[in-house]
Amino acid sequence: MKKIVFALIAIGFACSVQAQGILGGKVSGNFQIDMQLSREDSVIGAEKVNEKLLSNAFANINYNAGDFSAGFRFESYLNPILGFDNQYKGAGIPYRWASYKKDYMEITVGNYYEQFGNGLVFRSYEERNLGLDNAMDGVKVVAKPLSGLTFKGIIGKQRYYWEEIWKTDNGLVRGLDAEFSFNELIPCLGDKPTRITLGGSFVSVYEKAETKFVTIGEDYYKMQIPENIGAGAVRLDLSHKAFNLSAEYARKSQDPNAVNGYIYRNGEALLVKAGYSIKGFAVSLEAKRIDNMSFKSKRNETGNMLNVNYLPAITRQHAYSLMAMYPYATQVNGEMGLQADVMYKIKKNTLLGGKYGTDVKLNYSRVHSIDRQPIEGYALDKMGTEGYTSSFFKVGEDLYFEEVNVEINKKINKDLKLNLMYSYQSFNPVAFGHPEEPMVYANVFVADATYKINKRNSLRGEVQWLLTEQNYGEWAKGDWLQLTAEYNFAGKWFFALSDQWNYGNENGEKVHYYNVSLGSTYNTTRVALSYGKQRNGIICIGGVCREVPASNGLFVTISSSF
Amino acid sequence: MKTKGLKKVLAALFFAPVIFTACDEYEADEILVKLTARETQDTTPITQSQDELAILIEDFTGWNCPNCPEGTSILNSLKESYGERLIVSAVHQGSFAKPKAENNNLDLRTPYGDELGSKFGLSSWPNAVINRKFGPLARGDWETKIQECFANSEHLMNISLGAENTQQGLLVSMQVEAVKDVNEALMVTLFITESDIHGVQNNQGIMIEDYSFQHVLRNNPIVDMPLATTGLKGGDKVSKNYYFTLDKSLNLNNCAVVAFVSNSAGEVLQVNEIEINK
Repeated sequence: MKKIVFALIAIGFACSVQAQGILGGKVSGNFQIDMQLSREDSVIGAEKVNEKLLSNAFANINYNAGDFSAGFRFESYLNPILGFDNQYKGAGIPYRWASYKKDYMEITVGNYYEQFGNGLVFRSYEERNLGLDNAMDGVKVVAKPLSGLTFKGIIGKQRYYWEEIWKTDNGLVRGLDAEFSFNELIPCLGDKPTRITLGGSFVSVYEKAETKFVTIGEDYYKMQIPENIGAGAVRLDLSHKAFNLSAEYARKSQDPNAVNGYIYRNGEALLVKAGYSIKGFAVSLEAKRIDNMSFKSKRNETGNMLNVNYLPAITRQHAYSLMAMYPYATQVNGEMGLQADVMYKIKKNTLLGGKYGTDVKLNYSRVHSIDRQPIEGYALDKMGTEGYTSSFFKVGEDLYFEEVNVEINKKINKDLKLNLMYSYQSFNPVAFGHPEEPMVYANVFVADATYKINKRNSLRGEVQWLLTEQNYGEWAKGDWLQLTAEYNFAGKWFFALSDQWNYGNENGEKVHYYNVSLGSTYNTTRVALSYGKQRNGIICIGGVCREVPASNGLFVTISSSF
Repeated sequence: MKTKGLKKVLAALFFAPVIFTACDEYEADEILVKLTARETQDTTPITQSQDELAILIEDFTGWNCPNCPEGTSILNSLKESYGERLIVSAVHQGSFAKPKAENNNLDLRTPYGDELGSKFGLSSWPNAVINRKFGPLARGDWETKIQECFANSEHLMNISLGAENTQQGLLVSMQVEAVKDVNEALMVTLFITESDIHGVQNNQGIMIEDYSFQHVLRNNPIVDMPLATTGLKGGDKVSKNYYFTLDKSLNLNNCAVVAFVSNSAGEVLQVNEIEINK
């Protein structure tokens, strides 16, 4: 594969030399390094870091010359900063690719990211903050033979830290996606207000079978392990003026794996979104049902790596840290839920709208388990059986997550902006694998004000307040208060002070997680330095989560692009 | 224009074969294969013990394979060097093993041998697979790979065996004693080999009428029986007893039972052999 990639790069450069000279193309890239110095702190649970200094870094270098492009990404984890899997330790080039467009086809060899539809059966992506990278290594072909008709074909294996994947038995992923845009395909529909797009995809993973046994009663059984796991999906996107509707249904064949406890039930997922939007008002509704849809290219893998598909979360993703203290994680083995969003802009020059108008956002989400009944004669989820039966529309008894939140965004005058938020959250620790922990009910308040002193200087103040009577794990105990003050000066500098105070911790120390940070942005280069304590917690992006351990020390980030 | 568009669409269906990769589906009654039928509480005394690493070499061969006697000579020589540390099984499989009138229709193939040939992708003979991990290997590579295997493999456990011909069948008792920790599921496979079977063999184009076949894999193996689902700790001992169903054609005086422990990937971790009537 390496030979193919470098051959294509060489060919590309050769063509470039002939057609427009070696400098005829354009080189672009970006770079980031995060460095962490953390010391032991038994009060917050920060462990000793033997290396003293930890760092994660990457650089993307891309070359583009007309229809040809190529690039690579260098990464180093020397050693990985806290919370990142130690299997990342090392440095190298895990991502390299070359691509060219010819007529109606685009061909990519080497590494690539891709997604079919909403990703229910296939999504290859990178989420650096989660330490997640399931980049494909292989071949991708995208063809647009007719306007409105797109085919995508992929084949390859997924990245697994620094493992030499072609020497392993990790699964081979093959997939095909087709999308038909009727308004582009049929000329007479081109200017109609109703837009219809239909799509379908199929993905298959081949992984060599291995022997697995199960004991039922006093008897031993050998399980027949399927080597080819298939998953297909159909989707529809429809819009008419201010309305839009999007739906995707996916189904997966028998896939006994470590995540589902080696059961043989077929997987299923449905995602429906509907929305209505006009100037100053928008409403959207989402509903989702997932049933046994963990789909990985290695059947014994758990965790975030080697996911073939992606099951989006339908709860609001928060930026404020106390709002995000009890995050929602997608339950790939089964969940059903809904989310509603309403956005309304109160008009200018009204009592509530004031001079500039007021934005009001209301969000509600609720996620439950699915109904699950044991197969006759077997325990629920019994390995080597279909695991359970489930009625599609019946809601399970366990509430996993519920949130209602309201946000008001108000410009008071030309210099002062205010953002107010309130959220009520119900969080079930069973969703994080802690069934023994009680439900957590939290009220969270946020007030965030930005005052513009002049064109180059501004001041921002933030108050976050979390009230709960429950404790969760080692890091979420009772009430919290967070104060932040940030001064942006000289157009490119910032200085911030913050303190996250666990004043409601009744059994332990009422810890202050203070933090001081200073940074600057100059064109595309940003440098930020912070010193303080970081509490143990969980970070979730799109329903995919990782634990962030406690730390106490210095954190430096440098990033730039060209 | 329409034809051109159609051609483009057809050409764009480059990845359509993906659809044919489909998926493997099992009916509810096909998912589980019961394994305990041949396991028993009956025991027979252990007579064959072990205290060092042994290696299994499976030679894929056939009566009409002109180079196979040369392969057998290499194996005989290796067996002389390594003694009980090298266990040999001759798997008669593939086109060269197909019986014909020329060899008096002697059929030494077995369904299990065919399965192994298919699993390891045999396409030329003689070729060998070592410890179900390395191979298929051409005969010129056998000696080197066996040396490497002894140099690089860990001695993880010992297998002790006992065998007794009873009215219910051939009773085999085995005891596996872990020397080191093994943290993965372990399986046991047992099969019978028979030596001194006489028949026709092609040797470089010349038919030898009274060739003596050695270590021939025979029918009714006991495959992938569970030994320890989560592995073993150093010092752990596990005992198992099995009944073999015996073909009437077997001459038990020339038969041996080969028993090996494998991991979930099917790789052999330790192997031993016991001659039945000795």
